[in-house]
Amino acid sequence: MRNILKLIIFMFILCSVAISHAKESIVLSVDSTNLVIGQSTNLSITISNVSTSEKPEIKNISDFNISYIGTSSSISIINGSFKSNKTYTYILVPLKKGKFTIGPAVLTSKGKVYKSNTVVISVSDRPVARGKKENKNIFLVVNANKSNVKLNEEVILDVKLYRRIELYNMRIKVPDLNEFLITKLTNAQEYIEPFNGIKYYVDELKYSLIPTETGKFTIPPFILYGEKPLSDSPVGGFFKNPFIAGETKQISVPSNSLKITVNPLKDNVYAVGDYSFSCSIDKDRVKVGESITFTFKISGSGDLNFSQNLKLPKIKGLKYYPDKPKVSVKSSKNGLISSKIEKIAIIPEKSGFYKISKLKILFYNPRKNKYERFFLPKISFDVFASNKSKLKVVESNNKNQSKSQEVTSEETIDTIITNQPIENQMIFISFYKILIFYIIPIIILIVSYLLRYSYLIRRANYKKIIQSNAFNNFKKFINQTDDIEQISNGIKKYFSEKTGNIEHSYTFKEIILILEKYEIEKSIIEKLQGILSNIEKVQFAKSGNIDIQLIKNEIIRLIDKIDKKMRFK
Amino acid sequence: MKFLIKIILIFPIALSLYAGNVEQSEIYQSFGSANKYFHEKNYNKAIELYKEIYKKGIHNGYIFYNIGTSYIKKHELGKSLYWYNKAKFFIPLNSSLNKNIQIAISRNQDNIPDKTFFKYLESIFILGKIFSMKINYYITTGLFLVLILFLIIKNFVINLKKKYILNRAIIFSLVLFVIFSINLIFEYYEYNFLNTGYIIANNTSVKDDYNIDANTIATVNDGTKVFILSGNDKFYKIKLLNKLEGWVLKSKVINKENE
Repeated sequence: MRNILKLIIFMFILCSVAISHAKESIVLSVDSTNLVIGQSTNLSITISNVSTSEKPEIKNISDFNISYIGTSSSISIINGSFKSNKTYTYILVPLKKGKFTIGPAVLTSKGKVYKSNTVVISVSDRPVARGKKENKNIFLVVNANKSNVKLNEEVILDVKLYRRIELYNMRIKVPDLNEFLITKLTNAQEYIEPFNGIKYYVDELKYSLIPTETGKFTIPPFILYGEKPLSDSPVGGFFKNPFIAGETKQISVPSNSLKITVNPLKDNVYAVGDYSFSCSIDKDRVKVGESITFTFKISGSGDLNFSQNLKLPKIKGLKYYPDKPKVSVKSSKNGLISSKIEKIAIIPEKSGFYKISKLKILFYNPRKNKYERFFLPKISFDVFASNKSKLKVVESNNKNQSKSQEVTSEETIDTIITNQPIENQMIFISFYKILIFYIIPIIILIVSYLLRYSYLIRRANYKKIIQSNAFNNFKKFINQTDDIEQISNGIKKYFSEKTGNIEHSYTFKEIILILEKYEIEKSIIEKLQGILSNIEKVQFAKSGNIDIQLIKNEIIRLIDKIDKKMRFK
Repeated sequence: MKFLIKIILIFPIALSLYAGNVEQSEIYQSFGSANKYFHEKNYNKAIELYKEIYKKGIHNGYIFYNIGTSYIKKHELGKSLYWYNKAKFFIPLNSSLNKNIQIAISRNQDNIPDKTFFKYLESIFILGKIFSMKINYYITTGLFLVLILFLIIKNFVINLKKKYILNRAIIFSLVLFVIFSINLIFEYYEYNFLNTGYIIANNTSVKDDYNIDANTIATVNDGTKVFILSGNDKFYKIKLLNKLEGWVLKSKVINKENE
């Protein structure tokens, strides 16, 4: 027993001596230093003889997308030298073109800082040569059905593993995505597909990717982990684990990465997807205070977990109490199919007829690549006051006294009218009505026109006769009198008759104006003016001796001339 | 002999007056019975009696209103709107009628926006919505007589000092007469000749051709207004207010033919 104890103590001292003499190191390495954008490589950090559980920190890695795969440890004693190794493995995917220095990896243990070497990686932007894949026995390809989408618009990722070798314990590691919600749509479908003339076993998986943030994003590679037999073996099925395979080697196969641009949506978009919907109410006639359940059902392709909740318009007298919406989502090979039921309890507080006018809902339809506006059908219902429980409205006045007022009004359909005379209200245009109200008045109007016309004709003829006989009448009148005043009146009467203005008696001034208007010669006008002034003098001043006969002759001669001139004007 | 002549002359007048009174009393009797059935909630019988009065040639807004109200009580929107629409020609400003029309329209699930030219005509001929057809007719006739009177006065009174007042009165009455007479013609045409109808069943299919197997181009509901363009034995060619044209079964529509 003492011997065994001594041996253990000896071994412990030996080990501690060995460890204390072992060299501590941290080494950073990559599988490939020449990469293309999106092409992945394995990055390993090997920590030797450092006892720590902390992960090393890798500096200068911002231009790469890095995914942690796992850790492996080993302990060895060679020539009395004790050595412990711990390797951290990552997948590194470059995001930019250029030459980058990665590292160092830094590890802190027991207050001591260990730094690794750095590695230079060249990244080019030329596409991955397909020929390389052709020659590969195994490669993983990820394709998206679209690269430019709206927020919450579903992207279908098609993950295909092409292989010509047997693989065991295969599993796909989905990258960690903060900006997307990723859902597996289908299990692995296995089939044979030729690729550039070479037959490959293809294992296909589909994922739904729903962006939850806007921006430009790179989807890091999906990684396939599996065990490859060291010796050639026939190709088996996906996720098979035959224990007869013998010695195997752990492999990881990264896929390509993807770039997806996520654009923002318009305001007030209810949901993104291709949906159909319906709405209904359970009752269309209730008492005040009774609830009506408004149900809105929507279903279709897309994820309704990201949809908004329906809001009914505010209507005075109605209160809304929405239930928690029920959303169910199913996966299909074409994407997510979801349905949602929203229930809102409507409590009317007043009687009356209520209608909830057509509600507008805005969708973004990815299939049509456009916004679509839908209207919910109009909903209406009658609310009547309950006889048993009349609604009481409490009003308070300044004296803090309250009184109650009963509201019993009910706005419903007005009833029939019974107290009106039942006579025919239709217009019947009978012959007698037309005769009395239309034909006879028109006849009277026509007759009145005829009478007026004949009167005007007669009047016009009379005027003409008077005009033509004006001079003869004047001559006769003058010859019959020797009174100067009568002569004056005779002149005025002549001009009244000649101009057809029988009712008017002109003054001498007006007579002169008429003559000027008729463009009578000036000498005649002056002569007449002289005679008229003489007449006026004799009339009013009663002065001067004049020969009446001479004046009469003179005036008859002058008027004769004037009459002839006026006839032709 | 004179007495005999008097009898011969008076008898037909007395007979016609008596016949008129008998008919009037029958109408009131039917009206009273129909009202009674309505209050007893026997709407079918009430409708039957109201329609009997209408079939006697009585076009009365209150009868039509009561028919419409009976139908709305039976939750038959299309039929109620059809009869309310008829009543509107005779009692356009009746508050109960207008209220019930609003309720009936609001219960129609389709609520198709009116895009027809007819809508604009209705807006122009607004007088038809204010005056009943009879009032409109009286006003038009009165304006015509006033116009004729003014013209006759103008013919006979030659030396009127303020002639321009008469001329303005003539122009004013002429303008009013033209407006009212056009409105009257439009109203008369709308009531007697324009073939409008209403869908009387929910989920009525509008087909693109006049057979049952034709494609359904739209589905309309009870209470939707349609214009009847033409028809055959089973189908009407209709035009919806959104100008969509199609065919519907005659049994799904109420109009002049099957009121």
